[in-house]
Amino acid sequence: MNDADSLPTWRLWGEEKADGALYTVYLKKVRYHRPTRSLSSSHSDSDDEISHLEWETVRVRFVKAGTLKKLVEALSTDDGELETEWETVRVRFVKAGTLKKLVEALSTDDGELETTYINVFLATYRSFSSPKEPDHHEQHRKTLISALHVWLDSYPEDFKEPPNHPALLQLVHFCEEFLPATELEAKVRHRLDSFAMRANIPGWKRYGLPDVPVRHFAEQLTRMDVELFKKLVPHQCLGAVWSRRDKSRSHEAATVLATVNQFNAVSFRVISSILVEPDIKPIDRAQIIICWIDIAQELRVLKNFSSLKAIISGLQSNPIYRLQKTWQAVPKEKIELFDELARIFSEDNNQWTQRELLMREGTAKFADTVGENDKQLQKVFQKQNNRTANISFGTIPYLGTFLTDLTMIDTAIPDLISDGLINFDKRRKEFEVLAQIKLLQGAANAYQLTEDSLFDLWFDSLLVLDDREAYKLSCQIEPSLTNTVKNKKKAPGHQKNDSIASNSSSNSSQFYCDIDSMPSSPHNSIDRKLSPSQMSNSSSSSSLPSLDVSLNSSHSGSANNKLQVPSANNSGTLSPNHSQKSSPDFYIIKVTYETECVETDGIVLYKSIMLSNNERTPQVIRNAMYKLSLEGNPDEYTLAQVLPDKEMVLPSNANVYYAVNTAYNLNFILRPKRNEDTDGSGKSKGKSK
Amino acid sequence: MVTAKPTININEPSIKIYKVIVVGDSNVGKTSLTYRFCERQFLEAPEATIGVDFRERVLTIDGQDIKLQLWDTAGQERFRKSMVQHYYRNVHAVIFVYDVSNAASFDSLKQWIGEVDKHSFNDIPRILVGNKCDVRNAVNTNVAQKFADMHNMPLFETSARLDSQCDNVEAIFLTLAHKLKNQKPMIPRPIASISISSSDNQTTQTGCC
Repeated sequence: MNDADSLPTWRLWGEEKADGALYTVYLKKVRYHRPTRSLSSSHSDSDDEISHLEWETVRVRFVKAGTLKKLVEALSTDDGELETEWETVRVRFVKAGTLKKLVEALSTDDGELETTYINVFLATYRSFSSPKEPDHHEQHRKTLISALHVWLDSYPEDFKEPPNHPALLQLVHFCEEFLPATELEAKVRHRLDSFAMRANIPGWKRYGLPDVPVRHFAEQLTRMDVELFKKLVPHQCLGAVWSRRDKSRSHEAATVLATVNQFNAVSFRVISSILVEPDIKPIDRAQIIICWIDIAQELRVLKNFSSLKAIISGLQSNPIYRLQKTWQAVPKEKIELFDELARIFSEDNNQWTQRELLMREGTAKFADTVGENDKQLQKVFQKQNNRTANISFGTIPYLGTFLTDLTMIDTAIPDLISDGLINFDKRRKEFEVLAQIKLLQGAANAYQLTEDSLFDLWFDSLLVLDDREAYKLSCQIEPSLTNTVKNKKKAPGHQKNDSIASNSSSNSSQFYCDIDSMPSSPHNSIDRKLSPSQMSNSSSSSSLPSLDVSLNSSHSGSANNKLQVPSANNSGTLSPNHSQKSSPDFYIIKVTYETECVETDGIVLYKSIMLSNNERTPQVIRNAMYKLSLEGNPDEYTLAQVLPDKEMVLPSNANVYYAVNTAYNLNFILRPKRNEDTDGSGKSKGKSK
Repeated sequence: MVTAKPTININEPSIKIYKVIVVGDSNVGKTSLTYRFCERQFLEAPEATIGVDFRERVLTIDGQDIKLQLWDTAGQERFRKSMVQHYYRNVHAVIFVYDVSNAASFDSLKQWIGEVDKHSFNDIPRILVGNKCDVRNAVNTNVAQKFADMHNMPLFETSARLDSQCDNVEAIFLTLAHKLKNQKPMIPRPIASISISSSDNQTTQTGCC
């Protein structure tokens, strides 16, 4: 939050060790003025005071580590106070300490509250202490009061223990006895009352996709998210609490779990709503996808990144992603819009896009940040920002990013430093993340959304499919190619093959593959030989399309599996394309292997192989066999091209290159000749989770 | 926007970036492994403002620098898996991790492999890592080795926790780096367009001629 001109240049001065605590001392250049002790003032300069400000060098000391006692003490000693020295201000921050020290440090020597410190402390102390402990220090009455205020305001959930809220009750008694008729007492009582209240309302009527008011739906989803987000207890996101490292505490992560569940619920509903009617036409199914994209767009405007991401994820999930015909029926602008929205969650540069967006818009009036290539979003924002109705300071972040950061901090930084001192630096780091969450939670209060119980009803009534069912349905709706031909067997899916992928791999007869579906062991020798060093030409793989590209490929569609980079909105489509005038020296064909015993829970693997213009059937079969890790005599297999209405079995010694029908997809089936048995016994097949 | 292909860094002309995903059940130590490998990065940049990013490390292989970017979804395991499906679609290599002391995590490997198969290409380098070999051993090394052979992956057993195993962690990533680097088409070449699909280097050329 520091703006550029007050951006301190911190210079590490060294460490100072004092009884039971370790401090890091920094020199820092600051604009110094006696801070008014409010939560925000230590960081922001109010304009009217600027004339009195000067730049000075400040020496800052952080407690780095210490025993718990020391850390507690640091709460109340002068350690956390700015000490004014001529030209140089020396600041000592608690870096670490004992619990007692930390608690003591909660108040400064003149009884004032060191706000940053107390916030870090309260937000993270659960990692090294329990709520019972800190309360025992009552030396500084004033401090205690302010500490309790901060505690009550910032961490209401600490006192929420339904049904009787014993901690609050205890506080009430405490106030009655020692602090009667104070603001604090009133606050505590009020808190107790508000916990007692609850409300409910039912309703009737139905919504049905795709004919729904998208803005309203986005608002309702947001309303659900806001409720959960406001209830979210930030410290439950702490790595030690949320991730299973500390199993005994995982139950304490209930509010995080609730958020995650809502996310998944939305994502699941996106998927199932698209699949649930198996018999509608692609164009109608596309309407549902469009509807979700429209809702997603509204969510973007509302700055609800949680449900936005949930919808994007649903649309990107395999069962939906693979519905090429459906995506083809989605208009180009919608696809572009979808791509732009999906790009927000690109994981490049440590999710830079998303983080940047949060920074910029977290508490801003509008959603208005667009990438230069986000044409659709630009239009959207232009329209919406003229409408004052769209002013919304609220933001709902996608929690996963924070969870990852916290988990990583927890993994990477030890709880204790060498002397068994509590590593308070770690807590500071954690607090940085928690503080962001809290900031956004505060902003989320700005949402003013009324509850539509009909929406809730609709939401709850939507069928939810699990992954496997969803995949099956998806394959029913648009059978994978092998399936069309064979049309028996349960729905094998085909491996989604981004066209780019298909090019890859192919260009040589070296095969480096490993598929658990294939009987493998004997072939390892082959694979081994060909392993990495020789893979040389083999491909690519690597160069994978960026996120957006891969998305494009999904919907852009051209349902063909020919090697073609999908054309949609994409720049460099370099793939060889048979439709070009000069025919290429080779084709990339895709071969799948068929046996009776394929366990079909939805995966059929295609292998791409290169077919050059002098290869004859046995050679092609051999290549395919290598690629598919099959052993045996090539003569025992047949190869057939899959055409829309039939299969074309290749004669046993044809020049395949000239034999294939290039008017169609170059998909082939390799299968054992009749009454031959394959060694397919030990197949284990991929499964879905 | 940076794409996932090996990219050339303008400042350091020779650095290529490879994206590697680390998958496996939760709590098998994916994050520690990643951290172990990238440790220095993390410590050197404590002031990093955009989140915690210790996912990159530059390695020098045969005198050439390459950058490995490691991805794991730590902390997000309970979000629907579809959420990370797009990760799978554009990675350069995969590291499968299981916990040596937890047989279930080993059993799940098949699913993870299936998952990756669904989304990525089968010929990207893969590596199998048994983590936490400092703890009680529930997964027999021979069994694991067989499994690794079957899926044509090298197997490593290691512990991200023990300093003594540090070299081992290093070895894992070096192996991977070698594999990645030795794939010819990785070498970025000038392609006639801004395109994305550097993968079709070869095909492209042929196609155009």
